[in-house]
Amino acid sequence: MFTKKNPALRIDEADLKCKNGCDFFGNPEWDGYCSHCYYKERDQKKSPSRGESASRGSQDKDSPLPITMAKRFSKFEEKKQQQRQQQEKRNKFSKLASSLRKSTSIRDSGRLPEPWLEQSPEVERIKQEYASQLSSISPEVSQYMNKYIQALCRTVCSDANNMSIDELSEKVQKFYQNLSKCMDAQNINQELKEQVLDYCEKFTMTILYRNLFCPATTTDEEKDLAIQKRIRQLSWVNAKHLDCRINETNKEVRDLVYTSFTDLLGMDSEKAPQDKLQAVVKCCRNIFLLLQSSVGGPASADEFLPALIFIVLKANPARLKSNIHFITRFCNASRLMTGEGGYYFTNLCCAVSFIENMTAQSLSLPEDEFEQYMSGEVVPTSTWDSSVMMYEGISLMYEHLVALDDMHKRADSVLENTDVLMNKMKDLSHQIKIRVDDILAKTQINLSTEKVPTDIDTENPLLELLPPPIAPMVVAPVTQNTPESGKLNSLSEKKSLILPGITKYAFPSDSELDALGADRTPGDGALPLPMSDSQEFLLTPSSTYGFSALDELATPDELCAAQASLNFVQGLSAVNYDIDISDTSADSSAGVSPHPSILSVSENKDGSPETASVPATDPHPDPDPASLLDTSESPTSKLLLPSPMKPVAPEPCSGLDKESFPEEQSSTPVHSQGKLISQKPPEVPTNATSSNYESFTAQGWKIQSIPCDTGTSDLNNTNRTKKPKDDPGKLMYCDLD
Amino acid sequence: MRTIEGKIVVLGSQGVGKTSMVVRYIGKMFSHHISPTIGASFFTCKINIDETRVKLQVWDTAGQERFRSMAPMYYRNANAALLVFDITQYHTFTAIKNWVKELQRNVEEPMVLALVGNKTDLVNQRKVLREEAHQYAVSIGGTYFETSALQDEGIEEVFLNSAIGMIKLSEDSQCTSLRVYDSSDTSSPTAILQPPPPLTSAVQLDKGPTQGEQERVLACC
Repeated sequence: MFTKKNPALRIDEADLKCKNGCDFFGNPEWDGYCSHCYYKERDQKKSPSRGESASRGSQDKDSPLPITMAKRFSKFEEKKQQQRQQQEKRNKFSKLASSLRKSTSIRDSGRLPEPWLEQSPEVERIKQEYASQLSSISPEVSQYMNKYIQALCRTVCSDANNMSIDELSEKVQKFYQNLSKCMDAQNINQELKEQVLDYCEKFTMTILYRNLFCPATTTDEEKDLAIQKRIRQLSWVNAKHLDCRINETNKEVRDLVYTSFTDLLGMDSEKAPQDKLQAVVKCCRNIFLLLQSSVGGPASADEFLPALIFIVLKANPARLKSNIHFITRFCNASRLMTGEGGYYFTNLCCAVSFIENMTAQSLSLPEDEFEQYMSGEVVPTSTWDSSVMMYEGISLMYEHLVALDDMHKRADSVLENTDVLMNKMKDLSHQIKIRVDDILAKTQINLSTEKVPTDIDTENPLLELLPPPIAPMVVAPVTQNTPESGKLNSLSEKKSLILPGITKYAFPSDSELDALGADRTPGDGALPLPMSDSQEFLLTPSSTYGFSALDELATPDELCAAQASLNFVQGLSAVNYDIDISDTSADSSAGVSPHPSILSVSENKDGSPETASVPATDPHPDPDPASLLDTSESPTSKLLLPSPMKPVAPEPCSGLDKESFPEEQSSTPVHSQGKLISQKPPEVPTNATSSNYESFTAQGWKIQSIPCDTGTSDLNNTNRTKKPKDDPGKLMYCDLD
Repeated sequence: MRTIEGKIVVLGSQGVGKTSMVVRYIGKMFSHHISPTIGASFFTCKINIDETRVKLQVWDTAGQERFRSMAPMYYRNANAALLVFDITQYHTFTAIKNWVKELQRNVEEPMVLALVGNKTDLVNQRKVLREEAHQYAVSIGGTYFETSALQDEGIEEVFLNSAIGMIKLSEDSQCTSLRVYDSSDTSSPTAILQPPPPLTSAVQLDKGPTQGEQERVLACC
């Protein structure tokens, strides 16, 4: 860079101008013309002459040889002239010359007298490399050698463009031989001689490389392109086509394949022929190594040559032909003919020639298949590229598998964590359940306490509260209610006295029950515990209803007789409790419905709570005959119906009741009383008649509306179902509580 | 001491045992004479015979038919050729005849020819008669050997014979490609270009130190 620019500034400006004398600057690349004049000149000649190196080949091909030679000669003459001019100048600037030389020597090598003296770093390195050997030879030999080298360089540089490459090659070979002879004459030992010869070869070839490698006078460049194209066309050829046993899947082998690629490609970067040869040798040794690991033994030529062809095909080295030609022409012939380098180089030449002449037959393929592959229509399944891709894919797959494993582990840990979390959550939920259960247990207690108080409430506050609703009710005509309600309070206060009261009430009621009553009376006399069925009725309000209802339904008339057998009655009661409860509620409404007069008032009040609690009950009683309903009413009246019943009873229903169940009536009040035992026993005695019923209705009404009743009824039911005998006792206790 | 450097090319069809022969020879001689390079297709060995050191460069060739056309590159500048065939396969013997014709056509310098019938361990399957092969060897000015690479029989003689043949060639100074130099002698190499001698000249060699009873014919083709 520096050497080029510095002198250019010092040279007279006129020298840099175009040769035609126009004001533009000339360019040595354009024969000293400016670009404008150069193209003009070229057009006049009607043949392209720019770019000595690049287009020379095509020029040779296009135009007949003599013409090109003549042209070349004319150009040469031109150059000579130019050179002479420059030389004069150089004399002027003698100091400059040395720095100029190198740059110009490359392009117009002929004009410089001693280009080989230029010390390029490469040449310097070679000199240093062989310093010890050079120092060991006698000064005469080294002088002779230098003279020889100079002579060769001069001739080559001056005649590079007008000598055929073969002549040059011959000259170089002669130079080697002469040197060898000289050294033999000097009685230099064989090894040293070899080394000195090596040096000479390296030295001269490095200096003359640009003149001798792929010179413009040859068609090497075209051949390079041709072989490159050919190799590219043959990219589909794989190891199997060549019968070469390269284990492509083995990583070691693949690495060796790649190193042999690089070795072969490195051939182009070397300058000295023996270095190029050495690159080939390295490549081939690697091939042998890879064959050894592929085949599992020493490889023979039968395996080596296909492998080398394969490597050449896949490496597709740059300027392959130029390199081969350069080696064959300018490498020491003795080295090339014999020795390892020679052998491998021969193999390389074989490989190249095989590639150039490859046919379907040489690959043992059918002609048409070969053509298809060559034209690129079809691509064989297993090419090197595909196997490489496959390998890449597999390695990628492995990476992914590793990643997957990692993911699996992570997922497992996540799952474990989730399991732990789940367990924790389960524990938590369990704990919560336990807590909830605890709380529920507590709340149950609360509920039960609620229930108990409800009973109490019904007794205490309800008694106070209920009267007013009753008052506005249809009962209005019946003025007795109000005083009764007032009495109720007093009665409720007397709860403590209930038990004896109950018994008292029970007794009369039982006594009224004919035979049954006779049975019960003793029971009654023995206080609540021994109390039998009749007591059940009395004790459990809902059950009593149901029971009574059933009794009425099942045995309307026979009741008296049938109830004689207690067991039978018990069974019945046990069976039909659930239904009865609903019935009871229904009965109340049903009981109301038959009486139009009451319906208007009582149903509105009674019905709303009733329907809410048991909506489906209504239809049932309606279809039933009035007589039955009436009979049913009679028992139900104890709880709910009293209020409706009350108005009903006195007017038409009472008559019906009496008519249908004269005996029952007596019993029904007993039932109601029985129920009332727990609730309002005192009422009954005070007002045994319709007034009593009213009061009951008020209570029953309320009780019904309270859902707790159903709950209690359920509890009662369960209790009842077990054993009627025990139940009354329990119930009694409850009531007592 | 005189040193002769010569090149031997091993020719023959695929599967006749060229490589086996070479490998056997290397394996046997590894400890003393041969410095084998990697692989078995090229190696050099030094044989000392009567104050003369012979450096043999053995070039193995690919026997496949598809590489047949490349053979000239291998046998160019060779000083000796081992023509190997399989005694159990007659077509390998006929292939040798083609090889010889090709050599005679293309090679201008004198060459030591050694006809080698390999696989004598399969003698009961012999298809090429010993006499026939021997006669043919004489007719081309070569020597006939029978070897068994498997059983390591007669291989050493083949190479020895080639070395001796080369010494003879160097003495005759008829071979340019043969590099002969003397470490004690200051004379220039003896390689002098000469017109190819007539093919018919066959010379009977003196018995070497390890020669067998076979008739050794040195041919200058």
